[in-house]
Amino acid sequence: MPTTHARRAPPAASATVARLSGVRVKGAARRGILDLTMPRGSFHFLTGPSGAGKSRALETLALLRKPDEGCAVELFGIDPWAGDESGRAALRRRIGFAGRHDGLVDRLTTFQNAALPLALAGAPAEGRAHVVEMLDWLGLAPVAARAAGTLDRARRRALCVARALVAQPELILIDDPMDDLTPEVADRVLGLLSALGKGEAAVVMTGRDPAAARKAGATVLTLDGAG
Amino acid sequence: MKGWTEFRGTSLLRAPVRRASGVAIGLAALLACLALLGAVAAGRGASGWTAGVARELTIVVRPRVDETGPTAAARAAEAAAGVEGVTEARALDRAEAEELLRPWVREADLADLPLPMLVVARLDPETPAGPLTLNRALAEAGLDAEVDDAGPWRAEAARAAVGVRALAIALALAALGALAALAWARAASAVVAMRHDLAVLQGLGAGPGRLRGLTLRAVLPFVAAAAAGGAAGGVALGALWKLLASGGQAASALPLAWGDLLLAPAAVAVAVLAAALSTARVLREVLGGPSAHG
Repeated sequence: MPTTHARRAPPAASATVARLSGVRVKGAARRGILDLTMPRGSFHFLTGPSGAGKSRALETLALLRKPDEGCAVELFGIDPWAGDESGRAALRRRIGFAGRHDGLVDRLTTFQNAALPLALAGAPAEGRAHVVEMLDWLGLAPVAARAAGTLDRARRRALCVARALVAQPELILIDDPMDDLTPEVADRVLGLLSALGKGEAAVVMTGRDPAAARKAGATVLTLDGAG
Repeated sequence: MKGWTEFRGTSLLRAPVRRASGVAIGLAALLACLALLGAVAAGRGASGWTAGVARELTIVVRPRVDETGPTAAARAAEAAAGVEGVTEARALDRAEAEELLRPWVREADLADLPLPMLVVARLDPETPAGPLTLNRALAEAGLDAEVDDAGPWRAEAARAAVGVRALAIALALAALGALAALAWARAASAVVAMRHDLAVLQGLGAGPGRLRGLTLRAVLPFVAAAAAGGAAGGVALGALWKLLASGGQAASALPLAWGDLLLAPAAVAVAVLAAALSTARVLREVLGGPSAHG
C-alpha cells in the first residue's frame, strides 16, 4: 500500500467533509429521502440499479454538475454554488474523483496524467516519488512513460484511480472502479479506500458488489433510481 | 509546474494545428498587409497630386505682332512672378508645352501645329494668388494673356483624391476585417477541439485564470506565427515595390516610404487580438457550466 506524505492543513478544517441532501434512497429513516453526510474518516458505498443516479450523485459532489432540483450539496462547510468558479476550482483541488468516463489527457504520459493534480496545485516536485509509488502499486510503472492514449481499458481505469488518490484529497469519489480493473488491482484499491476511509478522508464509492464493500467496512446505501 | 521535470517542454493544452489554417491566416495577413501599405501609399499619392494641381496655374500668352513668342512669355513670367501669392513663374519652351499637351492629343504630331506660349506660375501654398489677380496683373503689364481657369477641374481632382483615399482605406479595413474573422474562427475551433482536455483540467481544479492562460498559450503562438509569416511576405513585396518602382510612374502613383513597412505588425496584432478575444469568449462558453469529467 502506498505510503502517505505529509498532508497540508486544509484551508477550512471541518468535521463534515461533504453533505448531499435531497437524495432519494431505499431504507432511509425518513423513507425515500436521505441527507447524506460524509464526515472525515467515513467510507460510503452507493449501489443501486443502472440509472439510479449513482454517477450523478458523485459528479454533483465533485462539482462537475450542478445539483438537481431539490438536491443540495455542501463541501467543507461551504455552499460551492453560492460562490464563483475560482472558489469551486479551489474546492475541486481538495477532491479526488475517478468517474466512469475516464478524464485522461491522451497526449500526456501515464506519469504526467497521474501527477496532474499535484502539478496543477503547485505541489513541490518532491511529490513525484509519491506518484511513482502509486503507479507502481497499481501496476502502471512499466507504462509510466507511455502516452495515456495507448493504454488498454484496465490500465486507463487504474490510472484514473491513481490520479484521484495521488494528491491525498480530503474527499475521494470513485465511480464503479471494479468492473474494469483486474481482480488483483480491484482488491488493492478497495483495501486502500477502506484504509483512507478510516483516516482523515471521506470516501464515497459506487459499485454493484455491496457484500465486498461491507466486508471492507463501508456503509452501504442503495439508491432507488429516482436520485 | 516548477520543478516537475516530467512536464518540462510539455504543454498541458495543445491546439490542433492544421497546416491549411496556418496557410489561410498567412494569406489573409499578406493581403491585409498589402492593403494597408496600398492605402497609405494611395493616400500619399492622392495628396501629392491634388497638392500639385492646387499649387500651379497655367498662363496662355498670345504674342503681339511686334514681339516673338518667347519674348512675350518671358514678360508674362516676369509680370506673374511679381504678383503676391506667386512664388515662381517660368515660361515653358516648346518641348515642355508639347509634353503638357500630350495627354490631350495623345499620338498626334505637334511639330507643325502652332502652340500657344505657356507660363507656369507656382503658387504660395499659404496665400495662393487667384486667377483674377493674375489676369489683372498681366493686363496691366500690357500682355495679351489669360490664366487657364482650371478651378472646376481642380475641385474634381480633389474629390477624386478623397474617393481614392476612402476606397483604399475601405479595402484595407475589409482585408483586416477578413483577417480578424479568419483568426477568430480558427481560434474558436481550436478551443472547441480542446474542450475534452479543458474539462479534465477544470475537473482537477484548474481555475478560470489558469485555464485562460493555458488556452491562450496554446492558441496565440500558432495564430501569431501564421500572421507574422504573411506580414513578412507583405513587407518583402512592399520593399520590392519600393526598390523596383523607384522613380517610375508607378512609384509616383503609389509612393511608398520605407517607414510604411513598419505598419506590417498591425496585421499581426489584429489577428492575435481577434484570436485572443475569440479564445476568451469560446472558453467561457465551453467552461460555462460544469461538465462531466471527461
